Amino acid sequence: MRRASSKVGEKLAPYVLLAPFLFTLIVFFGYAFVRVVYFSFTTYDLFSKPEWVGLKNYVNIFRDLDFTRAMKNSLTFMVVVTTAQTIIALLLALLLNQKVRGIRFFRAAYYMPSVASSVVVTLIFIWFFQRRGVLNFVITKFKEYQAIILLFLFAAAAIHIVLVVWEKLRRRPVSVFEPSFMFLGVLIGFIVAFGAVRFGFLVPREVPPVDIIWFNTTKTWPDFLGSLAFPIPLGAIMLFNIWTTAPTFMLLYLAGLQDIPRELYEAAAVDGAEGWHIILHIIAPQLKPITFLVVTMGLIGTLQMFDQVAILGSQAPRSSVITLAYYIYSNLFPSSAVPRVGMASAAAMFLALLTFIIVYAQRKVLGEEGENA
Amino acid sequence: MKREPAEGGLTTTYRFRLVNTGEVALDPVPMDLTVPMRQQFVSATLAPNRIERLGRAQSWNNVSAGLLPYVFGNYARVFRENYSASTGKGLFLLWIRNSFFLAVTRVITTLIFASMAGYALARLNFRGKQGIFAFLLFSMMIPQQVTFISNYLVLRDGIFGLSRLFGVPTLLNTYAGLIVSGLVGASSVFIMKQFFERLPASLEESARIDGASTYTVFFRIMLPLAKPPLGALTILTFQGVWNEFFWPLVVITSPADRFPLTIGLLNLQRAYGAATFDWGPILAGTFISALPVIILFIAFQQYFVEGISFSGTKG
Repeated sequence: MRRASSKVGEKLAPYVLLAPFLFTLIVFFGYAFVRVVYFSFTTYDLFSKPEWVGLKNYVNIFRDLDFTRAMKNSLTFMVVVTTAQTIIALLLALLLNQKVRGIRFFRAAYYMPSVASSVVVTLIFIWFFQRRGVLNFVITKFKEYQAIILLFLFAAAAIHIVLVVWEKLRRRPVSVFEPSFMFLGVLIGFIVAFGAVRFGFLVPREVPPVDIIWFNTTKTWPDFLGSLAFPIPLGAIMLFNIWTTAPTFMLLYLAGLQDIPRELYEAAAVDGAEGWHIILHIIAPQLKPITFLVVTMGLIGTLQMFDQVAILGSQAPRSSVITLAYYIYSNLFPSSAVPRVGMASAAAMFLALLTFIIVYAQRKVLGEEGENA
Repeated sequence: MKREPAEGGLTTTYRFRLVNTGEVALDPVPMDLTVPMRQQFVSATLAPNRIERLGRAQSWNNVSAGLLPYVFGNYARVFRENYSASTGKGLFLLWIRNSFFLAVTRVITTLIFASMAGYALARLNFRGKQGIFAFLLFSMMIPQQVTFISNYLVLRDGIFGLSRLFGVPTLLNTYAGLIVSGLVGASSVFIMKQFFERLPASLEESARIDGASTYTVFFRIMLPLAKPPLGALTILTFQGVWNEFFWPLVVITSPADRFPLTIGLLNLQRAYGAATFDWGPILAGTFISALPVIILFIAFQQYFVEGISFSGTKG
């Protein structure tokens, strides 16, 4: 029924609809990628013509101390942050999967740091980690009141354990984490700690203010790891990054947890499973695909870490925080030298390759998992 | 001036007189002065809103009239003290405007082009479809820090010289550059494709039998159905552009009038952090810039959750 005159138009329609997207895809991705591959075999300073040098750049980046440092920093960052944030995201999700009043508020509150821009959170982070900043202050205060805090925790735990054991001995059904006992424990612990201070059994210790330099240092930590230890400024970024990205993955886990059918829990309850058994044998297998997703996204995301380093700028020694992404950027726009596009491109190819390997490995593993499920 | 020996040093008490020559009456004056060593306040000739003065005589900036101006003093300072060197306009407001402009433009182009491409990839048959889709997936895997080397050059040369036709020699430091290079992202196309694939085929078929063209089907039937994913895409794109840092940092380097808010904040940090960190205005600016996304997040929480699971499928 179609009119013959519009047939050509119909044939072209998909390409017309795709045109804007194809334009960006081809110019800003396809062409760009091919050109970076080409640049990686040349020396080029953005102004004169590129000169073919073969594999020299790939050899040279490994002779560049900055590159090896960037490589090491990036990989350390990737491994530590991905591991920590995955675990924390899972724990947070388990915690926030409770049916408690106002849980939506807590979910939103935990997610908040992930919404703001990296500049915003990084600036807050720099402020937090100043030499006379919030973090050092909190650590100082903690050291001062250490004994009192310990007394409080000890008293609270003791009361709780005594109550639970007492109930169990009388063969009453009671959960290990009975909330009313917990509340009682905290209350009595508080009274004990308060009393101890009030009547002078314990006094806050006098400690010199903690003076950890978080940024402007080339020290590494922890010492026993030798050359595997990471620079302290990088460690600070790690701590912070875990805090800002864990909530994103927490939401993924939360969605996964809510997808687990109720019947599974009920069946488990009938079989008498509780606590850790449920987590290990029911929740864990169900969350496997999400864990793979979270780990892959984490690996790729951490590998591209750039913003924090750029915003930190000269506040931390370059060698302590430089990452692959920053290495590429700083070779293209060096502050006082000729741009080394070839080196930047070779490093970029390296980054692409690393990402590719990770995605490929994940596909492999996930594919096999998918078949089993 | 009085000096008294104190524990471990010397306590020096200064007495000084403030003379208010401005028009605003400073009635109760709460003061928060941090006085650097050997600082001559008397001879501070630069106006308080001059960026060159920051970090030298910053303590004077904290003098304010009344409690409220004192509490929100840093917020006022962010707007008051950052002036453009060339036009004399307040920079911070400009940055906010720039970010809004960029975000809104990107949202519009993304909505239109992503739904067009997504529809074509999901429901039309044409040669090269598989290839284009595979290419799309591949492009989502390669980090931005790889391709930006060439993209920077492409913009510098005005997209193969095409921009010369409009009399613009280079697209660096222009919004046109940012907009053209970010017309539509691969992940947005992916989201729209996923959505259109799930719609039942019967919707389209009856219209086709009536002889409607592809364009009619798309604009009249499919697009009105796509409100939910377009809503999510709006929120996510807005948030993405508002928070974007790396690419604007490469493209927009000067003048400060053209910075988006993220780069502006970096500028703010450099200005106030030049001598000693004057954290008040930095954190005030930080908070203001985070406010829109926080409001968006509170209003449209659900979309954010969906967004992650969408981008999750890209891995």
